[in-house]
Amino acid sequence: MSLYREEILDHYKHPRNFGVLDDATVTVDGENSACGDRMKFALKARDGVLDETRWSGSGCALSMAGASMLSERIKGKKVHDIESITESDILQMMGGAIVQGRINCALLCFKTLHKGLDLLRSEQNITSTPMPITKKMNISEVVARWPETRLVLSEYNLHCVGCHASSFDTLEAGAKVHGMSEDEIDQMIDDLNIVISHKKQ
Amino acid sequence: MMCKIWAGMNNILNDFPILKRTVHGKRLVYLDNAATTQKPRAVIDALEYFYEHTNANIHRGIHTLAEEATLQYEKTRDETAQFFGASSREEIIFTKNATEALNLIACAYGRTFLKPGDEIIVSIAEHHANFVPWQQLAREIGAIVKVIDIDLEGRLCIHGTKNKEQRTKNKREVEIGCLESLITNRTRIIAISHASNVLGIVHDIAAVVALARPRGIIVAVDGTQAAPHMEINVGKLGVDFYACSSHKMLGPLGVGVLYGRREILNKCPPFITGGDMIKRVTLEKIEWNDLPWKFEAGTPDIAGVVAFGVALEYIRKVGWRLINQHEQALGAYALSQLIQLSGLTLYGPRSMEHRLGVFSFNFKGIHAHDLATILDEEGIAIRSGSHCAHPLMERLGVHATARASFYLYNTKEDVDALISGLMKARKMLG
Repeated sequence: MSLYREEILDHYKHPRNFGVLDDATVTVDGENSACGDRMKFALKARDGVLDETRWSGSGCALSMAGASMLSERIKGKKVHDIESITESDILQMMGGAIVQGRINCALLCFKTLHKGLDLLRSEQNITSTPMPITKKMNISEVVARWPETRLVLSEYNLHCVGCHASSFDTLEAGAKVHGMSEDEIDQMIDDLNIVISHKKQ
Repeated sequence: MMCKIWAGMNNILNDFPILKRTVHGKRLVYLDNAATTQKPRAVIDALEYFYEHTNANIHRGIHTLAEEATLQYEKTRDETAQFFGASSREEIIFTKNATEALNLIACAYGRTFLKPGDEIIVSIAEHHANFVPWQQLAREIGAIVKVIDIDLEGRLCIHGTKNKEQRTKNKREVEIGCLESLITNRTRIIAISHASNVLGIVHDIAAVVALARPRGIIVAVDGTQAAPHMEINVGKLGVDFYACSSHKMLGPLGVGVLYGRREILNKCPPFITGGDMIKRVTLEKIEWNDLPWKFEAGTPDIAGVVAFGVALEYIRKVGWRLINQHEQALGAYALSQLIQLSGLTLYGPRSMEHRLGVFSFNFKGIHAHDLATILDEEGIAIRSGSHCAHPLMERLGVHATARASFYLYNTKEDVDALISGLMKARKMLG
């Protein structure tokens, strides 16, 4: 059976999601330097979902069709699910008849996408920097740095924001004074982190 | 005349068992001869015979098998010396491939005799095997690599001063231009291929030697692509080193040949060390073996060397006259058919003058890898990619080409199959 099934040829001749994304979260380049195949993948993710993707590039029919097919497969999917796509999934997606010498062509899209996912992960880590707010932080420092936390603290009845205790109390100590349980404290810290990460976006 | 030659090819075709096999249900059309050639029955039999009757290590044993193996191995050296016109058997060194042979020159000669600031000239059309060892050597000792450019047809610029330019690459100034303009009183080595593995062009080694010889510049030739297709006489060529490969000229894999001028080899230290390359070892000192064994440390591919002798014998029996006539006629036919295809870009000359049946091309914007895969589905084996010649690819401004390369067992039908395969590719992807 030919490697160039109808589906492959169709994607090669009519690439899907081909183009650029002006508001991409990340854009990455991939290249097979030996044969000159190049591609660019733009990913736009929000709340763990890949809202939009575009790719562009030049190269052989396999690398181009692969990128096109993969872009269809990942669009609108959860980033977490996209991360679980394996190399053999890609080869299967392309019909499973890829000879050894062409594996790199078929997998260029996969490698480029993974570069993008890695970058996406690190980007998101920066925005939510694994819990920038911790319960050991000083209340007044937190409020000074992220004024938007004031509202959350009020909701948890921590009205001491303006009181003198806040200048030396940690979030944990302040919360305990107000009789909050460990679980409630953790919940509050989570909420504080969510509020500042949203503000950033 | 073309037809007559091809009609006479039946015997030759029958000598190559692999040509009877099919690939994807189609007759095998093997057009990747610049990568490796197929083996005649006689060579395959020789390998089998060696392992069934002779197998023993050489140069050390006293027993009959060792004696026979040594005799056959050394007899092949005599035949090889004769085949390439070397003045003595000591000038023939067996290596594991042409790459090792070229590295041997760079290491044994280059490291010993080159000094910081000395200059090495290579061509832009070199296979990496004759490019990287020199770059590496230059880096090690602080020498300078200069590069011979190609003209519009792809032929090396030997004479003249034009095209001389500096270009910056990786923060290193590399001078590229005509050979004549690159030579200075610091030039020590010119390392050049006899024929390009990409463009099929046969380089004018005589002209290179004419420039180098009077100035005492060493000429090291990578003959890997040329040796299978033309009679080589290293003495007449006047080169100092000539490297080639068994498997590209009907012989087995695993054997390379280096010819080196005796007086130069004698001055060089060994390339690798170990058994068989020493006369005497004490705790304090070592005494190198004589030529050529000084450069053959360790057990070589004895069966491979013996069978390589059979390959040389096969070529001799068919004869250069017939081989050249056939390849030129077939090459001219292939060339005429290829350039008739609209949308085909051929790299290299459009005539068979000083040219081998090695054709690199791109077609209709179809990637070379796709061409190779589609042709493979038709049973046609070609090569695609950069052909281990990145500097040339960059110079040509392409990432990859498809390459069809012919040999003495290819036929007009093979050319026709290639052309119809390309037309199929055009229909599919063009």
